[in-house]
Amino acid sequence: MWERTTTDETALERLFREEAPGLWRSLVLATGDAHGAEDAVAEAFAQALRLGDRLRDPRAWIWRVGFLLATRESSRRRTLEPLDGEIVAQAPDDLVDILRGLAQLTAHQRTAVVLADYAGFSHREIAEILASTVSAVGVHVYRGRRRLRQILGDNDG
Amino acid sequence: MADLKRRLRAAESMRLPEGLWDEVVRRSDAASPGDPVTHLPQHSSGRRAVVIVVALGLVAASAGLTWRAFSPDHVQDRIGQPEPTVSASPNPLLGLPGGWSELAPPPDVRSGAVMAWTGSNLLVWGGYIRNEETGAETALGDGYTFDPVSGETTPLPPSPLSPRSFAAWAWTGSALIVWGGWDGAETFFNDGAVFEPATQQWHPMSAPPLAPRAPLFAWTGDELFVAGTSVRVDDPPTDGAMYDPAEDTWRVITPMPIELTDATAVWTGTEVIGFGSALFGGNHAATENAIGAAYDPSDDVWRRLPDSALSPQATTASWDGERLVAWDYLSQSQTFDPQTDRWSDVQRVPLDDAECDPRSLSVGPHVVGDYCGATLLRAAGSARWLNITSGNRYGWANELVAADDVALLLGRDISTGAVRTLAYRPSTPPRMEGGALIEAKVAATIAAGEFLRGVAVGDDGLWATVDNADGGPDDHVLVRIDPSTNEIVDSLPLPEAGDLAVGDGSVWVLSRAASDGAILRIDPSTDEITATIPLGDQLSNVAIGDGAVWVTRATDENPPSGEVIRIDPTTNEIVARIPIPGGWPRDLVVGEEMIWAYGHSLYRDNVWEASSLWRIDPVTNEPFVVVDREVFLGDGADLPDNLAVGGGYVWASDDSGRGLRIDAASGDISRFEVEGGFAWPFLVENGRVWFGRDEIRILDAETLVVVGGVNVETQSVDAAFDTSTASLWVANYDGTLTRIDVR
Repeated sequence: MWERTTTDETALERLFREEAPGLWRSLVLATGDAHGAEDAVAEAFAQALRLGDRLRDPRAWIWRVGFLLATRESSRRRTLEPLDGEIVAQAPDDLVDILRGLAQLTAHQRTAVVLADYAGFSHREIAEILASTVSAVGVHVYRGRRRLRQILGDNDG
Repeated sequence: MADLKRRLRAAESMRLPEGLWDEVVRRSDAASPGDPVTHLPQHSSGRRAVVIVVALGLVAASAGLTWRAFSPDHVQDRIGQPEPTVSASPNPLLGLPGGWSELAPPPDVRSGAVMAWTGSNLLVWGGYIRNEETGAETALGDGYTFDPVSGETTPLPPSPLSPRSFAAWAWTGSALIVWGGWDGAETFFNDGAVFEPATQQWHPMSAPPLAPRAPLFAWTGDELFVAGTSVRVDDPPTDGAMYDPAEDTWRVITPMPIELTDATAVWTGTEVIGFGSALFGGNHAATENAIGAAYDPSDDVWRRLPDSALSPQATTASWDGERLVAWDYLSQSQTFDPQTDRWSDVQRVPLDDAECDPRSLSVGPHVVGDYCGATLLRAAGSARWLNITSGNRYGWANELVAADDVALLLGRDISTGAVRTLAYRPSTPPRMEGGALIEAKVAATIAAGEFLRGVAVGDDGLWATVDNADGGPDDHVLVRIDPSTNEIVDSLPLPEAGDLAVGDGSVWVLSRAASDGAILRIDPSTDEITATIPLGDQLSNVAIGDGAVWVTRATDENPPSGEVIRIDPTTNEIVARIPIPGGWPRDLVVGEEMIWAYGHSLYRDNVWEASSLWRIDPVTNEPFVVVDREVFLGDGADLPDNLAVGGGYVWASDDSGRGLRIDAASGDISRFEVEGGFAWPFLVENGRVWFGRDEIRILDAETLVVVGGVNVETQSVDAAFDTSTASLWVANYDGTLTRIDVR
């Protein structure tokens, strides 16, 4: 029977402090759903904690699982969740603009742009996270950026 | 792009909910050991890469099975590769799939060691392992054989040589030659020995006519070439000699015409090329660029190579069968053709900036490199490097070994001491059933700008529109490439530069005029804009044919509607705006006596849900829906927006990678799978249709059987075929143009 060690928990908690804020924000940007993102982050780390040292690269695994859980839920709804009212109420205008702009991209484009331009992953890393190909990621990043620039540019007048 | 990143930083204002870690622990504690864990999907790569198959491979190997992975054509995929080294023992690497595999961890990972693949195992001798606490790099004097699949390790019998690293070595097919080297401190050596695995015996070599050193070396197949030095010394030698193991004799050779201290030597089949630089105290380079010289052992003569454009600070070079492939630590690469005595243009190697020494080696006709834990591949026939790094090995001590057609990477995590063996097998294009492979070779890769928007072929060259996205005066440019030199020879700034087409003596570019969308007509001989035709906003693509210039445009998004604009090139006037109700036409092609347009056609709840294909009769300007919505899956907007026409068919594809062939006369649709995913039709020529994205596949237009391919990773925006040179030009998302010559 697997038992979680103190070492596992300490190491993972350290990883949580380093990665969870960025992962959660990336998921919010990608799905518009703060609660769904919170749930995905919690579940991904909980599963990582259960797996312990069976994970060779916990950071990569958590990002992959986090996005898998969050986007799976998002795609079941087919459409983007209306922007979380709490975020809209509390967020600065430029963040609301970004979120509304991202909402007009396709799911693939939105996820790819967020991972590339917010989280700072390479196309290869994004392909690993999304279980896609590097060239497909390139397509989505390119089109997503172009569309988002148009949208944000239009909104800027 | 920088602006977009800055704007996304607004997300930093969002605060992670309090207490989330406590929730993590609560969930983990609440779960039972048998509760399911999220399983990650397999990679969808069409290159048959990534999937870790160690368990299967080890089981197969231990059961004595000959293991073939993935497709039954795997053996045929390897035709064209050099024959593996003949050996009495079976090659445990046979049957590894294309791409990465994790093998058994090695007993250690040494630097500067002899690491020779015998065809059945790895022979390791000497070298050093750095002590990370003290920084000591004490040379080793022992060795072992290592089977990277089973992990079996057998110590070598003691050698007559003292501990050393950076010795010259060669595997002759039956024996290992080790000569010279350095103890890492003050002592260099000029003795050597030959080890024969069959007898487990070491035999001392005859005395050489050379002073002690850690030399540059290369194996010609008959003799071991040693000359100069591969370790920095104050007064680098230039003399050299050749050792014949069959006779146990040495012969002195003509001294090198250049000094080298940091260099690589390769055997081309006729010459030994030494390439690198001479560095002295404080990394001071004797030359402005990396330099080289070639030695012909049959004539005992050297010739100096023209200077490269690469940095002399650190370089690596390999031989791919036709050219010297070199790169420096500034991530610049060039190839040298000994036949023409010319260096190629400098191209970028896809690496992050870091302070390491680049290393590379040949794996059959491919070149594999290592840099700060990143692994690079320059596939046979490709003009570009790919970053194929698996996992994060930055800071690891990594050693590359060529094992027939597999690159072995032995790595040691210097912080933990953990060691790993990874294997990478480059894949090759598929083979046509029962026939010859169409040869298509990457002839050039040109860096054109930040984004490429389109490419078109004209009488006087290749044209491409570039978006540099830097907000400067050259943000959008039209460039012309001379196919005889593969160089950009002309560049015209434009207000905006979208899709383009060439015809009626002009280059036509979708652009802007004032605040509106327009098409610009440009005289290619003068670069003069001879006409600016306002068309309206949201222009998409342009094509020329049937006596007109055709442009697609979106007029509204929700619900979608658009139009196809017809322009008379004799008057530069709009003669028709053909509405496409319920559709947003994007790409269009002219062929089979019709105009074909493809685009989005169903927008619901903020999501594109389908696309359609329309046909326009140029006689009546009437549109007709050929394929309406139900064919295309996914959300529509991610569909590759490209069509091709020819051979009686219109070609398209969907987001899942399926190809679509539509009979131009009847409208009948054939759906088919194209290996590699994201099938995207480039072009139709000579009864063949080219599909691509990850890799290019050429299909027979009638039978849909794969008749050829090109193993080059393109991220294609657009493509154009130059019939005069039989070259396909592919514009990539990374701002490069790839030229593929069909033979």
